[in-house]
Amino acid sequence: MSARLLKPLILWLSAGGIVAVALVIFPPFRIVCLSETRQAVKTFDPSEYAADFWQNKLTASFASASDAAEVLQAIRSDRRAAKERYGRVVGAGGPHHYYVRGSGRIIAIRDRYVDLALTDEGEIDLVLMIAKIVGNEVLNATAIVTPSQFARTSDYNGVSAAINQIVEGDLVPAFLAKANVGDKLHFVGCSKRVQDDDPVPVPLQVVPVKLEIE
Amino acid sequence: MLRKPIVLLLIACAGLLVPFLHGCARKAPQEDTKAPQDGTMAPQDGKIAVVVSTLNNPWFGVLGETAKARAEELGYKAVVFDSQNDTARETSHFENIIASRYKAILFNPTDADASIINVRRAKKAGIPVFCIDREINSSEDAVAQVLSDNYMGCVAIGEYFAKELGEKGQYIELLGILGANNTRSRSDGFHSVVDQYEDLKMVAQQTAGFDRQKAYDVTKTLLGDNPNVDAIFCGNDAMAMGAYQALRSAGKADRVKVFGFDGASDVLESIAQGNIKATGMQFPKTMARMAADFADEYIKGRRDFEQKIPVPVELVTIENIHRYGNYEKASE
Repeated sequence: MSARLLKPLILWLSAGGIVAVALVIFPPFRIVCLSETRQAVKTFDPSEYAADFWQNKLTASFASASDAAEVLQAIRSDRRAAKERYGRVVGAGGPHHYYVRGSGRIIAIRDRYVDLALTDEGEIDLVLMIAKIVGNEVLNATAIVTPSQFARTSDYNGVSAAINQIVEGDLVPAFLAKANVGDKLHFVGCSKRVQDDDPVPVPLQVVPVKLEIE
Repeated sequence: MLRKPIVLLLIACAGLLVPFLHGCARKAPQEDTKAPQDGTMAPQDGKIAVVVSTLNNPWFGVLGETAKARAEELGYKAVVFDSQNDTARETSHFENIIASRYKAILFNPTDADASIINVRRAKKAGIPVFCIDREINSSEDAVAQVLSDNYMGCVAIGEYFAKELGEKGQYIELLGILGANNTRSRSDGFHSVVDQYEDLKMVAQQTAGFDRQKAYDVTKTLLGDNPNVDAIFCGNDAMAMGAYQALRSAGKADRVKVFGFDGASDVLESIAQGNIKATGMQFPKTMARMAADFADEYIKGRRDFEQKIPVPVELVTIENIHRYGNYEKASE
């Protein structure tokens, strides 16, 4: 090969080499296996998360719930102190929830509520919600997970909706099948959101997460 | 004769490609998470950018102005940028902010997904971003996100809505910007309640883009198709005002109940007069001040921020309106 042809060939090869090296180091695109992509973009499943939360995390947290009778007594005597001692606040202050457990006697079973007396006096201290359960009550009151653990806040809300469905669809029907007025009930539950300037939240409205008739 | 210049041109082109390809590198440089060495930077030396999705809506005006005022109180120079609900404009603002070496960005994103890249660029440039009111769909790019609890706010509105309508009736829903997380959270919260009442029937659901004029036009059209509607739920107060005006022009304002969301001053006035039925007070001033305080603390060395901080939204009705005013609690 003559020197006249060799020189441009070397230049061409050098230029091509530079481009090739640049493309290897800084690839403008990357080819990936379709199954890998599907795995990466797997959508969040709130029902799956809620089922796992219910079975593995919630049950383990029951012991950390406050004694319901104590909480009610504290609310009746000084609601601000009760909030500070027993209340759980999510985010920037204001409304709060109580995570409570205890035992009581069933006073009445209504369409959407079960009235409960925690003492022998028979006064309704607590109202268990058994239908039309909404909101982030369980996640907010238990504080086992926080919104920061979810990429989208809508995922956190979706998990709440799925948990509410477990309460209404599984827990409550099983309870209602056996429950009668006068029965003694052991419960764990999460109060509805309480705002500081709302009327005193007694009886306390509670979303149940455990219901066990003695 | 021409070969040599062509070869040189190719080499030059290859060289030019390199900086463009740099962004494709697989690993981005790690953010320096250490506090500044001196930890005592004089605040007045820094500028804080306040990037707001739109100043066309007074609510966001309050958000932006409060953030600016708080940053100035803390000793910074602050500048408000209006993205006009346009992600391209927002990107351009971020480019300017990064080039001008601002110390922090208080950011009300235009789009939960499209805005992530802007936050990421700022982070890469070492500028911390604090989201206000609207979130981005990422937990790794902003330092913290101070967000309205839209979902729980609309759960409360949904419960009041069902009660006000006696748990039955026909209603219209006006949605905000489709694709915006706030639109979805508000609608999801509302529907988590009202969908449980069989006799509450949604006869129309349409977007009005959080815009008052669009809400007026859409409501006018929808009222023609649905003359027996009992209520309208709107994803923000600007749309509630537009819907209410459309009802007034159709002579139906006394019969159809309107519900909004935001806590805008004109809607509070309307609630006090017994017109609009309810709204959700979002506290833009609280969120803006908190984000500015966070930016100041970050600049001074704090790093342990919770990623998402929900700010409660409170139901405002004729019964409790005396507690609220001027985008915050009346006593504040």
